[in-house]
Amino acid sequence: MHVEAYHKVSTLEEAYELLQTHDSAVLLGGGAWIRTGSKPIEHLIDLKELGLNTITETDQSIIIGAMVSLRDMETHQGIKQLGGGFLSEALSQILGVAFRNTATIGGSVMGKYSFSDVLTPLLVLDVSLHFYHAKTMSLASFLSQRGRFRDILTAISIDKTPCKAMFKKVSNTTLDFSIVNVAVSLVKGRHKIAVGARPSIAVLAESVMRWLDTIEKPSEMILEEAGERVVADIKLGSNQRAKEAYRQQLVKTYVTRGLKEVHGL
Amino acid sequence: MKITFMLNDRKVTWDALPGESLLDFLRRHHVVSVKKGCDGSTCGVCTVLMNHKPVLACTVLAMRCTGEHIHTVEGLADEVEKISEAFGIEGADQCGFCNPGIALSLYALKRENSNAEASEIRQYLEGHLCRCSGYQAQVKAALRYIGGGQS
Repeated sequence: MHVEAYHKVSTLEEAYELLQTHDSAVLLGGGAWIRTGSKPIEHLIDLKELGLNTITETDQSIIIGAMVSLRDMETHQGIKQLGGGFLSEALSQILGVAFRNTATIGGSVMGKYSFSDVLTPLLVLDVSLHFYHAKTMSLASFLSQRGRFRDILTAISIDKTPCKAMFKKVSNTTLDFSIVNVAVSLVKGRHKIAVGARPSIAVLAESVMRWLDTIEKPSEMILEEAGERVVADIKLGSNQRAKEAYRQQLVKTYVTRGLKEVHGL
Repeated sequence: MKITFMLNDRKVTWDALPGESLLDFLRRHHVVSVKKGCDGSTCGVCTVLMNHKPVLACTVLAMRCTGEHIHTVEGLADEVEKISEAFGIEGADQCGFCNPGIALSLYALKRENSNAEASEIRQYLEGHLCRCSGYQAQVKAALRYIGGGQS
C-alpha cells in the first residue's frame, strides 16, 4: 500500500481540518481493511491518539468510542447483556481474536462494508452515530446515504432497553465471509429485521417490521409468512459466494427462526 | 520516517515507510520469526503481541507502533519453551510454520484466562490456520501448557 503522507493528529479539530482540506484524505480507524484497497493514499489521517477508545455506560445507553476494538466490545460486560448477549456472540464470529483486537467499531461503521457482520446486528438495536461536525443520526439513516461522508465518527451509542434478539451468520467456514447474515429483535412489542451480505450492504426489512408490529400475538404461521415477505421486500443478489435463489432460501429460513426465537415459539 | 518502539523489551528506532505493514517492517529488519502467509488478515501466522494483545502484523501499519510494546517469540523465550514442550509431548506440530503465531496467542490467552477450557482455546485460536494438523493435538497441547504441564 502506498501512502504519500501519514498524519498523526492530536485533536479532532486538526483531523477534521485535514479531512476538509484534502479531497483524497482517508481516515485511519483500525486499519483492518485499508490494505485491501489498490489505490495509493495521498493523505492518511490516524485517529489513534484522540482518546476515542473508551466504553462508558449510563442508565439508558452504552457509548462506545469510535476507536474501540471489536474485541473490547465483544468482552465488555454491558454489551454482553444487550439482547441476551447476541451482539457479543455476533462479534465473536468475526475472523480471529487478533483481527478483532485491531478492527474498530468506527472503521466497521464508516467502511459500510457489504460483507459486514457488525452492521447487521447493530441495525436491530437502537443505535445512534455521533459525529464531530454533523448532527447525531441513526445507523439506518447513515447506511442509506450515498456518497462520501466527510465527517469524523466519534462514538456510537446503543440504547439499553431490554430486548430479545438473534443473529445468524451463514458462511462456508468459521473464518469465511458471510454468504448472508440475518438479525432479528423484539423491543417492547416492536420488531426489527435486518439482512446483510445480500451481497450488498445490510438493510432493515421495514415494511415487514411495520406489518408485524400491527399484529398483537403473531402465530407461527404469521412468522413464516414474515420470512417470505422479507424475501419479497428486500433485494437479494448473486455473487461468487452464492446465487440469489440460495440466499432467498436462507433468509426466509433464518428470519422465520429468528422471529420464533424472539417470540419464544 | 524513524519510529521508536519497544521490541521484546528493548527500545529500538528503525526506519518505517508510511504505508508499510508491521509484518513487512519487522521482516525487513530481520525479525523473521514473524511469518508471512496470506498477508490479508486470514491465516494468523503473522500474529505478534502489541501491548500484550495478539494482533495481525499484516493488518497493523508500522507507523502505528510508535511508543508501543511489540513482542515476538524471540522475546518470550521461557514461555515459548514451555509451549514447545507441550507441543512436542502432544505431537502438535509438523511443518511448524504456524507455530510462532499460535504460541503468542496461547501466551496471551493464558494471561487473559488461566483456566481456559478446550472450547475457549478453540475459539481463541480460530484465527490460526494450520494446514498440517487437524487442530486436535494443538488443543491438547494448549490445555497442557495452560494447565502448567498437565493435559
